[in-house]
Amino acid sequence: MDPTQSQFEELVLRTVRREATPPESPHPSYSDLLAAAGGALSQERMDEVVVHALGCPSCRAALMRATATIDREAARLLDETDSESFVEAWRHSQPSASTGVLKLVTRGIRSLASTPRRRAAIACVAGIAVVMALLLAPPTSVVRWTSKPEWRIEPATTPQSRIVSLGMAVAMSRYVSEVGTSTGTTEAYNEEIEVYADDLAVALVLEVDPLPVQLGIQWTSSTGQEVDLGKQSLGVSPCRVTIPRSELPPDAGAYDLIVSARGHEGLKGSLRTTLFIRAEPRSW
Amino acid sequence: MTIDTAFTQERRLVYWNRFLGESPPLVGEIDRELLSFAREGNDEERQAFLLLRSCAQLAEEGSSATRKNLQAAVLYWFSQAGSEDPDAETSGAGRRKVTNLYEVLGCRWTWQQSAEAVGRNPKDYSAYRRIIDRLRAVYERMWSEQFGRALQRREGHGSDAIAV
Repeated sequence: MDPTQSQFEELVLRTVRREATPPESPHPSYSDLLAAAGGALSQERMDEVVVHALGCPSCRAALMRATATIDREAARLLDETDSESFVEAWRHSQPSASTGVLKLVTRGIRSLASTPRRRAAIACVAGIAVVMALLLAPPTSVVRWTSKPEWRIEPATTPQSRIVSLGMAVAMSRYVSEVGTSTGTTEAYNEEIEVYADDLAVALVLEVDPLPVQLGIQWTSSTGQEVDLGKQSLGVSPCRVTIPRSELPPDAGAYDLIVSARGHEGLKGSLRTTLFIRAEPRSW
Repeated sequence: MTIDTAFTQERRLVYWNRFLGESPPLVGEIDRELLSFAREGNDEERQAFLLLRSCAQLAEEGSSATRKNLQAAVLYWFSQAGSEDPDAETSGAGRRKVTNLYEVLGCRWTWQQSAEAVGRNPKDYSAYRRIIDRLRAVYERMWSEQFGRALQRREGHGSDAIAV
């Protein structure tokens, strides 16, 4: 290749390299994931996520790893009519993964179309979701075995960001902060949980002794409507359980949030707290 | 006008991706969407726009062989971008059909691998040089037409060189 050709080729390669590098956009965040999974991510932001994933080396590497893991299931998922059974199956194959996030992934993938560009988005969101599921999974640490359940519930109240890393960096925005602690086998929790229109999730940080327990969460309205958010085994403590906004009551009002645990030897614990769903956004 | 470079970059990537399929982007549609942004943009914006547009022009006026070679060139260029994928060799890249450019980012293909991926003769080593030559001619002509000034040229190697 003569020098002129070489210089033009250099220009081409430099330009393409720039094209494949994301603009100074942040890594897809946890709120992106939740919004995408709920079908609420704007087209504009979805495009940004895809562009970012196309060019960001760390996201791409994480994506490749994550998609390799989910490839087998993804093909099945896209044809799957019963998303619940898929989630169940996946839960059993990856017991450490967060059920809530997996449900979100299922919904997210379903909400996306089947164009090539969308497939990139699916892979991206699913990849992020899998990483997030692993991040949200309980840590495998040694647990204490003492006498009474101990609970601490943390509603999302503060716009605090945290960077976590598992092959990729994910900015978790609007995370949680502690508002109080309550201890006991069965008692009302003094702190109220307020959820505003722009909150994405409520995270409960649960410290439970003794372990393991079967954990159940439900909310009830003043008119008697009850919604069971499912059960899961808790083998380590503390554990963070995230309830996405889509699983909380849709309408404004006061609700009871009940967290119950059933352990060995008939040990039971439950906690009831008031959940206020606000129609207005949180004014930070 | 405020130029949203993230938007234009994303749109260009969508067009780039279409070179992998049966309907490469048309100069007209690229112009309609992106020309005004390029006119308002800096040199990097213009280079990115014009490279894409030149490839579209080449695809429009070239034979099917040219389009295939251009397809291979696009794969080759994008495989040189992004962080290097250490598993590229073992993942079967080059032996399967690529449907999205993100699949080749970082794969660091050779021209031969790129040509093979689109079904071209991998031993036709001059094909890439021909594409680069034709593309450069289109690119230089378009730069003058669209942006109203000649390409800056710099002395060197006994030949004019692109320095924008």
